[in-house]
Amino acid sequence: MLRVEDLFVTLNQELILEGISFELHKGKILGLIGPNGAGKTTLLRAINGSIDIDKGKIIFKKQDLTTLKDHERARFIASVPQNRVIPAGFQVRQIILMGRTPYLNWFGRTSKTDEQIAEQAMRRTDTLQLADLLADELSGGEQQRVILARAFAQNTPLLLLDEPTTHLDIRFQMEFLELLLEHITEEKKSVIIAMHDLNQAMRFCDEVLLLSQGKIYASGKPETVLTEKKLSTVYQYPIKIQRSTGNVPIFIYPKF
Amino acid sequence: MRTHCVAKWIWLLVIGVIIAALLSIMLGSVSIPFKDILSIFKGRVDSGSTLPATQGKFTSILFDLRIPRTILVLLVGAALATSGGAYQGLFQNPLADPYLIGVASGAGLGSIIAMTIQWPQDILGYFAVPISAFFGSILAVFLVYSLSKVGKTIHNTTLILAGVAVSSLSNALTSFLLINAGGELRRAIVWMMGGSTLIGWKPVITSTPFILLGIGLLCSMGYQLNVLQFGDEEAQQMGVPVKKVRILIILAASLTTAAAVAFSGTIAFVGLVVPHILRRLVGNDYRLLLPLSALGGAIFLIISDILARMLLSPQEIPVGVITILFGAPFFLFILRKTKRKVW
Repeated sequence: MLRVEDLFVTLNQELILEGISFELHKGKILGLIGPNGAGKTTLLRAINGSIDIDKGKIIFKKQDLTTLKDHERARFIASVPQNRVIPAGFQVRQIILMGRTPYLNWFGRTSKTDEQIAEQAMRRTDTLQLADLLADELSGGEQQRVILARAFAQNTPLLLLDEPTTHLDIRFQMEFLELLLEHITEEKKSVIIAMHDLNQAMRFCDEVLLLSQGKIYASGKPETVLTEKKLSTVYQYPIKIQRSTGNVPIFIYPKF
Repeated sequence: MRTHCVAKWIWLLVIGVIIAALLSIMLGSVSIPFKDILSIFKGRVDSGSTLPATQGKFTSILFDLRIPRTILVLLVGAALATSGGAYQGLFQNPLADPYLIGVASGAGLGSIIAMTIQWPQDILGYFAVPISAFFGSILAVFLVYSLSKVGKTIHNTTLILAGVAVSSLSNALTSFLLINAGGELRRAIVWMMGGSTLIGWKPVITSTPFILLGIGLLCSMGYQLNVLQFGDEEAQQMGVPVKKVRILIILAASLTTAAAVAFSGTIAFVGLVVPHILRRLVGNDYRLLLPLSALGGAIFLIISDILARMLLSPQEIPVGVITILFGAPFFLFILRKTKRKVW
């Protein structure tokens, strides 16, 4: 279980996150939603150690993640960043094997086990047939699956994804999320995923955290957080929810 | 499959280095036929035998001039190409080269300072030049690095601009020192054009430990450089201690550059041209690219040095002029390419 307690983060003398606390249970998907600048990316970066925190604790399995060394933390958390970077001149297989870095020595020598884990990650993400191609020459959807495979190969109990489907078309978006869902239910991983698409959040997340100006505005089950009133307030724009039978909201859209 | 491929490239280039080195000791204003070289070496082994008069002359050319020079050129070429490849990876910039980012000019300024102080010409005096060059290069690279760093990323355009500014400043200071220098002037000027001012074994013995240590360190960092290609933040998330790795690479690459520059002067473009040719052939895996760059750099500079000796023989052209004649057009080609496709 991941527990974040009273987290404060300042970037460039500006308070970005103010007293964020939440818990995430094993095998659950937590969606981070909220308008641009609400602090979704900053929260993910604070948890994965990319930025320093002012105050607070990030506890996972009784360990404070903020006190760990980089390679130790990288065995707990894998990240899929918002802006995809694919260095030129590397094969897909090489890139996915780099997910094993926290377990490798200085020279990056991989064992049979590392190669098996990488291969499994490729099978899971449907990238095995791309293994020998140059990753920088693939399409956007394929590249995003390669980065996901790299994160899978890191073999961590926690997975952080920052708007992973933003630059993908609708089919790749759904395929990506389905692959993710399949993998994490099988492996009982905990996932935090920042999302802009409220409908996807409704559909894929077990719980959501609605952020507004660096604070948690609401949290809980998607049905209780994603309401017309709350969303309209936070996004400062009238938002409608079309409900079908059974009172499950299925379509969230801005009012014209 | 991949290990087989790696071995193939390494063997190919090792054979290339051997052939180039052999040509280098054979060719020059006086050419020594291969069979004479063989018999001289055989004569050395069973030292009792007497040599014909011509072979006596060949022996001294071979052992006092050609062999030490070839070894020095080999090491310098390897050093410049390896550190060039490492700087390109470190800054994630295809144009990073010890000269373009100011490291070599910093090393040059350091060397000139040590030369004008005129240390006594003993071994300690010889060490003063590379050590001073090392500090010059470190200072230059940290200056360029801190100028071009915006937040956690290196700004590519600023990197080149800062490199050019730091180079120009170091070069101006170097010229200023030269004007005030006395008897060392000629040596320093030839040095600046990339001519080997130093002959004999002393420079070889002094520079070898630095260059081998530097190249060894850089080659050991290939994997870390691979992961760094994802950018600092992602590399850190994959468990790489980014700050430590960056500083280690800067120190090792600057040590290597400084040792090369201190003894051979300004030899531009080796660090740019060689890694780029190899990238096209073997890809960007730095674990392979850096050792191959060392071998490729050695070949490139030995051949350039042969041309420098042969083209206007007996007049000698500084080898730095030859490498620029090759390198500058290639540099323009890279510029054109990168305009089309992001590296």
